[in-house]
Amino acid sequence: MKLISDDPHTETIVAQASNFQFSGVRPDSLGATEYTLATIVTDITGSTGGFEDEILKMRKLVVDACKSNPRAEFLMLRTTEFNSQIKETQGFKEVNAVDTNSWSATRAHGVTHLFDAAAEAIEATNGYGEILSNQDFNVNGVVFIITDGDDTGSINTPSTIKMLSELGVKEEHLESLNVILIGINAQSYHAKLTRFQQDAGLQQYVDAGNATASDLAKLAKFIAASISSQSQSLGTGGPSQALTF
Amino acid sequence: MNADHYFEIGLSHKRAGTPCQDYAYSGKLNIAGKFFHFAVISDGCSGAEAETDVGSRAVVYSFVEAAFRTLIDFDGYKPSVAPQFIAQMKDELLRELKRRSEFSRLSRDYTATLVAVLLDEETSQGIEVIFGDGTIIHHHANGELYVTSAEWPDNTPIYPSNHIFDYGAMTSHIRHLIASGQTVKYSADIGIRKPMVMSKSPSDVDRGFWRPIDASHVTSISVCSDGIEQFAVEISAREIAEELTNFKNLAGSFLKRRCLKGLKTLADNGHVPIDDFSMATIYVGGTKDDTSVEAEV
Repeated sequence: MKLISDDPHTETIVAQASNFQFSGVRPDSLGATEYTLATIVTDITGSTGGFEDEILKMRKLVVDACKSNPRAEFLMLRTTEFNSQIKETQGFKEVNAVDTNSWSATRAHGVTHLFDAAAEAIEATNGYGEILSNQDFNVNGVVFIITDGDDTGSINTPSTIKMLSELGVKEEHLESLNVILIGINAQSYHAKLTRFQQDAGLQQYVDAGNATASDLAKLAKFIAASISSQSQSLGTGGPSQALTF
Repeated sequence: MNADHYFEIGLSHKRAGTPCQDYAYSGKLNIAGKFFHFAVISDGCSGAEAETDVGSRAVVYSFVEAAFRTLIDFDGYKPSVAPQFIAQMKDELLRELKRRSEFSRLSRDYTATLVAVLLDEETSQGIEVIFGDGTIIHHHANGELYVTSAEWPDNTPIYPSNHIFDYGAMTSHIRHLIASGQTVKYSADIGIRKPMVMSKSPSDVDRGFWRPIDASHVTSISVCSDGIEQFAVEISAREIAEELTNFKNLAGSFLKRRCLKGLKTLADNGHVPIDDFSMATIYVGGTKDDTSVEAEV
């Protein structure tokens, strides 16, 4: 992992990981002592067509909830979207600085490179965690991967993801990392996604029901509560416990 | 220029279930649009058998108020008026502490030291003080660390509150100290070079060891309680200072981050603070490579 852009006159740094880039706020712009790095990874493959707006609304609800959290100043958020490509829609940013008015729904299309998206999010969390940790920040992470189906054609495998999710903690850049897989409209893939969660050593698989307003509102609450719980565990030496959906 | 502070309870108080008696504070004062940064700590006397956690806070806030009032009266700070500025600071400090000492029941609650630094943001000129015991660390642009500590005979310093209250036996001891001709040593540990030692008569420093400073040659100035000298397992104050002034990032809570990380690293190697520990730092960012000013007394 190396820095691509470290211009002191800009607000962000860009770093190169294994085969992708991620961005984040310059550490010398950050004032707190510790941060929880939260990432929301959203499936925008063709099968999710029809509920793009509802998913966007859910993500905005997560941000609003995080901003109301007593530990809001210790939270940072990154968002990505994936089909066969992975796009960073927002780099690591303090949650209080996130402006969801600039967010828009992406038209659903393409196939599901779920494993690659998971690996990318975890590797970016490890990488930015390393940058912050080297600057004396105490850091932990939580990644939410929202999908409606199984992987089709990723280069990465569940065992690669397992290795990556352990790496940041092993190298002591992250105090802990929780990775939570979430299925939406994914009942027919329940067995495969559960298998993926187990093989990759993810903290939990959550069947979040359907892409209805009420189910997605419940999901937003769950994600915000999980971020809050992981933030409160920072400094304890270990991860937060899995919450019940 | 940026200032930050940190304090934590030592093992002995933690195990006894008694509060941390150290306090630290930092910030900047706006005097008619000019900014002055301060970093200040106070260490309550644990042998006083009193609530000196109250006293350490009172001493810290008394210094800040004294600085504010003196800066207003002098329209800022200039090295040319340092003696008069310091003289007024001494008076204002005791006046403010007397005012605050009505907060709690016992006069012994206020037996607490003071170590502080005050700097003009624009000129990097200012003053520093050790009133009682404690340590000041100058981290120079050339990488040298000057770690100045006070050493009182029988480890019994004169506190600011000794000028406000008659503590009976303690006051007699101090009178005896002055009469006996023993001196207070201010030793600057400069690493492999021979330490610089200044010996002062207790009567010269009974209202604190104050001096003007030119901080344009330092990257940071830190003030600490003598807790920096009381870590298990045996480790020098200098080694602690090297770890805790090795700043990676200077934004916001830069000292808290360094202390949290640095103290964890020290603890992983068996070095934990036995006594309460407090530290406050002004990051100056000076680049002038000139340590000659350290020779001034």
